[in-house]
Amino acid sequence: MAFNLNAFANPKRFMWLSGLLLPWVAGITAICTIAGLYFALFNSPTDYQQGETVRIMYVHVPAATMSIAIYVSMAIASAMGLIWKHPLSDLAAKCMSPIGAVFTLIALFTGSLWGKPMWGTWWVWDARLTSELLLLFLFMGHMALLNAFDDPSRGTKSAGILCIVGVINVPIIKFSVDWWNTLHQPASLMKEGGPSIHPDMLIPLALMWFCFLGYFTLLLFIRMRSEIIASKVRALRLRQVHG
Amino acid sequence: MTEFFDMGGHGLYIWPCYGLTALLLVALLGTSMKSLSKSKKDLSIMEQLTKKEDK
Repeated sequence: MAFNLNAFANPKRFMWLSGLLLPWVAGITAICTIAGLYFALFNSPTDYQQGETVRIMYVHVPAATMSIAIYVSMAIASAMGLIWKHPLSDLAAKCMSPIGAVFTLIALFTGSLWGKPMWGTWWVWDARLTSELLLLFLFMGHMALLNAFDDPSRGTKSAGILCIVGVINVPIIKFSVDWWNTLHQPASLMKEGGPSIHPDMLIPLALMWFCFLGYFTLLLFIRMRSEIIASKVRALRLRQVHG
Repeated sequence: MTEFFDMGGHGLYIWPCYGLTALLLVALLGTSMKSLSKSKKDLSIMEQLTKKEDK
């Protein structure tokens, strides 16, 4: 059976699939959260330079990774919406931006709280920090544009275009630490020569990654299901009004 | 126990990180589930109305 992407386009099939997966996603997320927090707070070493503040990494890094991953998937969804008029992908993009904005806010806030004891400052107009702040504005701009027009489809189209244009910011965030002389440290995982992080710290980091990824999936399913049901209600109301 | 919360004197920076993350994520889950249950309630109301009309 050839994989037909449009098979998932129809909301009924999505409702069935997400209904099936929701308990599993919730379960896995709960397990990763408990295990992740246990390892992060109780069962991982302090850093020889940063001491206990290295524990902020287990929240800061997954949140930052999620903020970029959500933005990229939002851009893909927006492109699918604009090019193939894929109804569910527009809906997915709409549901993703609040979640992405929250993860970006967490990344910025935890980074700032980490920077104060380690760098001696809450904020610096550093390439990495500034481009991540721009990411937050892009998410908020996407949300604002969605509701800026009376006609929802115009909002969806303009928000989609903003999102696609803003994708250029993602490689800038990723490579800012290599291109410019930044206060923010360079990559220690996704780089040549492979990860240079000790397993004792990699385990809590990986668990917290899956915790945030599971949480994002959970939220996305809930929000999309809510939007699909709401649009069904609107349709029933219209039918009732027009008889 | 206090030593644990002190976190080597950096508790002031570490706990707000975990606190705000939990707060934001739980709040987002709460609002999402609230809007889902509202949509479901609206749907059941609308479905009853349309059933009455079809009779």
